[in-house]
Amino acid sequence: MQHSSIHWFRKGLRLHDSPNAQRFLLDALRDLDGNLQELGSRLFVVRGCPEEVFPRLFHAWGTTRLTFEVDTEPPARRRDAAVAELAARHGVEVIQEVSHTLYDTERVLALNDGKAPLTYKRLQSLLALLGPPEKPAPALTQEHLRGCCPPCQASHDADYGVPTLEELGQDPTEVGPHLYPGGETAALARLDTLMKRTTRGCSFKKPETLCRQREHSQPPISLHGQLLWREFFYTAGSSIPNFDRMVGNPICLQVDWENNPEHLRAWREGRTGYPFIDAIMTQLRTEGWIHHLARHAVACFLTRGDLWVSWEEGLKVFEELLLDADWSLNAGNWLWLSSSAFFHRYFHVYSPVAFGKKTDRDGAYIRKYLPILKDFPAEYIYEPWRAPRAVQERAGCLVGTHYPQPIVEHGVASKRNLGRMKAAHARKGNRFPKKYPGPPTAQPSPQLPSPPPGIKREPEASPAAAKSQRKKPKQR
Amino acid sequence: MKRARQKAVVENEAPQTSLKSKKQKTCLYGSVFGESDLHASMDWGSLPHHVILRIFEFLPLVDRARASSVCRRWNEIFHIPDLWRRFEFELSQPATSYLKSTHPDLIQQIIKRHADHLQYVSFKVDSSTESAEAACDILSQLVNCSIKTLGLISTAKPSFMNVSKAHFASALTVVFVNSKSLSSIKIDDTPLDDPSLKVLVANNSDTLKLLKMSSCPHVSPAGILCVADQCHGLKELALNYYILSDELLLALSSEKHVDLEHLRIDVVSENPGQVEFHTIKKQSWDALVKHSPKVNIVMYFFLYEEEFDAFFREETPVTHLYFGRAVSKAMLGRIGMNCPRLIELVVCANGLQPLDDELIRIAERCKNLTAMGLGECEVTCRGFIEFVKMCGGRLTQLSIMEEVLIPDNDYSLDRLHLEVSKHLGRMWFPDMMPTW
Repeated sequence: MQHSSIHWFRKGLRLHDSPNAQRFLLDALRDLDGNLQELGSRLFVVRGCPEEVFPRLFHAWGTTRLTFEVDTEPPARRRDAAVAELAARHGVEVIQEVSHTLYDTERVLALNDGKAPLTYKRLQSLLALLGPPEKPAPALTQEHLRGCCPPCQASHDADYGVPTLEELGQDPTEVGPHLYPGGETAALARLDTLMKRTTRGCSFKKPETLCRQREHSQPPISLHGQLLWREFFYTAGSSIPNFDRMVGNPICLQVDWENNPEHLRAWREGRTGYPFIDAIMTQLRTEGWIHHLARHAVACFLTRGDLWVSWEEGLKVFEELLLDADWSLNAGNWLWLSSSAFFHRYFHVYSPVAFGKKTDRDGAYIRKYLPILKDFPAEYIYEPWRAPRAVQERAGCLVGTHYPQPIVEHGVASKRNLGRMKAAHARKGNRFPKKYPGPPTAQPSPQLPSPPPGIKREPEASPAAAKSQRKKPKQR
Repeated sequence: MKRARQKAVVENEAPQTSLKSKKQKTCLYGSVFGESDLHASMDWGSLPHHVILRIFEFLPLVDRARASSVCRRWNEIFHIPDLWRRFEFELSQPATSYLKSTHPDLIQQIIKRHADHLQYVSFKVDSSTESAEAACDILSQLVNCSIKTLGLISTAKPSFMNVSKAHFASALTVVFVNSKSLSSIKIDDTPLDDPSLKVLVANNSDTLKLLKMSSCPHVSPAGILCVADQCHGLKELALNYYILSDELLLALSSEKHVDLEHLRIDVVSENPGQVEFHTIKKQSWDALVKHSPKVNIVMYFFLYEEEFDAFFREETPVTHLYFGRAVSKAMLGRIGMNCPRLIELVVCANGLQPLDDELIRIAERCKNLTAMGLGECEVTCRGFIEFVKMCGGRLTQLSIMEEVLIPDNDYSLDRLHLEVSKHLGRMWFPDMMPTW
């Protein structure tokens, strides 16, 4: 029987994306179109709402089948359910395949009583039951597409062509340097370069920059391990309601974050007065990508480390500025880094001064992205406010005039936030684990020295007593 | 009231139908569905007082309040003093805070009807000055109460610091003077001052057991000394290092004084760049430990590396140590030498050199160590395993970020976690951060 199939590519453009992100996606679309043309097919970029567009296309092309990749994100799910119903009404068969994740998240959830695993180890043990992921299907060739005729017309480029940046309302001259061209071809090339350095591939370890060993490392630090993190967050994001916000999110710590637009803006615009943080946010804004440890540092700084601003605000900024912004990973990592979920060793705070120094003693990264500070000596470049005035003058940059004073004092802020975190964990509604009892973890729960005796209880005789009280994880 | 009447009607119907048949039934929904009959006297409105009270104790306030509008009896029980001993006032400005606030009408009701019953009270305020001022206003009205426990908690910025000293002091005075039986006070991050402490002591010296006043910049060493001198029942104290003195420790160790159980000291750079901290004499520490052998001494450090000089030069009886910023290798060495009572150690950050020697010395000399947390530090796998082996099963809490551990010729990370698990006698993994 003759079929007329539409394959629907998603993860589409969003209008509030940064110019960098929009260019990246347009690159990807052009690349896809080019690759499809080589195979004798074409990309059709259709504008409009899927629920309105599809009936028109079904009719115009006599579609009998609609295929697309499974998307686990809740807003996408709602859209797909609507489209599936619509297709059924038009007599169009819908086929969905899992290809965005290594495993079918539904299967993983089914193995775990319908609940997302809340620890990496738990996910690993569940996946071990499923065996290795399915082998990828062979790449499309011209042979596969023989006999297929896309309904292309002369006016294709005008009607269904990939839009340009100008058409989306962006000025191409205002976009940052084109460091990361979008599209599969460019991505494969980057991956190829990475894999050619075989020692690096075998001994990949985060966060090392130097190779230490030649053995294939195991998850979670191997490349395979990195992909499993993605799997972890996709699985969590697909089943936990309100995953990308605090209120109504069953695994998220309810915290009285501060509503401080001034601090948020300073963080976002890279003028916190902490050069390490500001350099990272500058790179993010101009280039659209920052190293994952840089993400840790600024995420911690915004939330539980220093500014005590809600992680939801940080999530929005990342979503807008990151080229590789991904709903599940973004939400999941913000939850993790703000110590709102998955992770409760909140004593570990990244220092905005010391952390960067470890891998970049001289501050080359800061000099590159904050040229105003480039003449500061290494001794002061992470903490320019501590430099004597003479040093600042020689560097041509006075703190307070040419570069901001630090908006918080890290020692004072982190101490206060430690207390707040403890208080948040002690709140009645915040006992862990919640409705998602994971397996008993190796470590007992919150581990800070003396918890303050609760105001409603008689004072504890000793912190050890209080600790052993807290140690028992709530079992189902 | 209309609702209560309707409900009352439902309650009354059941006895009518039950007259037809004498079957007894204890089914909850019996009267609602009209299926079975309830014995005449077994309707919900006539449960004994103490039963309803017990049930109310389990209900959150909102549900209790709803239940109180069901019938007059339940309403009476709602206002029984026993249910109003503890209360936490949550004060926040809705426009700027993420969390809920106690309803102003409820606050009014409490002040009017239940101020006398309150015994364990806390105020949770957000970062706005209005919330802190509202807390002070409520406090000022608690005139006839005998409060035992008082807590002022800033969930975000320390908003009490923005309240005028006079307003704050007068609010506290009301409670300090009228309660006369305060046993536990938690007022960190407030403009508490020496005169207020004098008032506290003058009225509550017999009952005071716990005082937490970290980050109260207006208190002087003399102010806290007054408390130690007069309040001989004091068991728990939390303060900043700058008001700790030899005299204070000696006062806490006087014969008249009960055993101190818990002393928490925050060491914070009051003025960034301040380098000199005063030292406490070993004799003073010795006196304290001799007097209170089981005392937990908890120290939180938030200093720059060069500011540590005054600390741990001699034997210091600290039991719980927390370093919020980078602490030097040399300092950790000193701790190994001079902190034999150490139970718990948390290091957020160190440097780039492995801490093997320092950890091994700590394992050797700190025989009471049961909990450790390491953040951005470096330890070789072999050094770490040596450390764990020496400590053995007494390490009930071991929290290491996986980046801390450096694989070497002998051990990879995988082998390491098995070895460590073996020595600890339980399954153990380092903590991990996801790849973003």
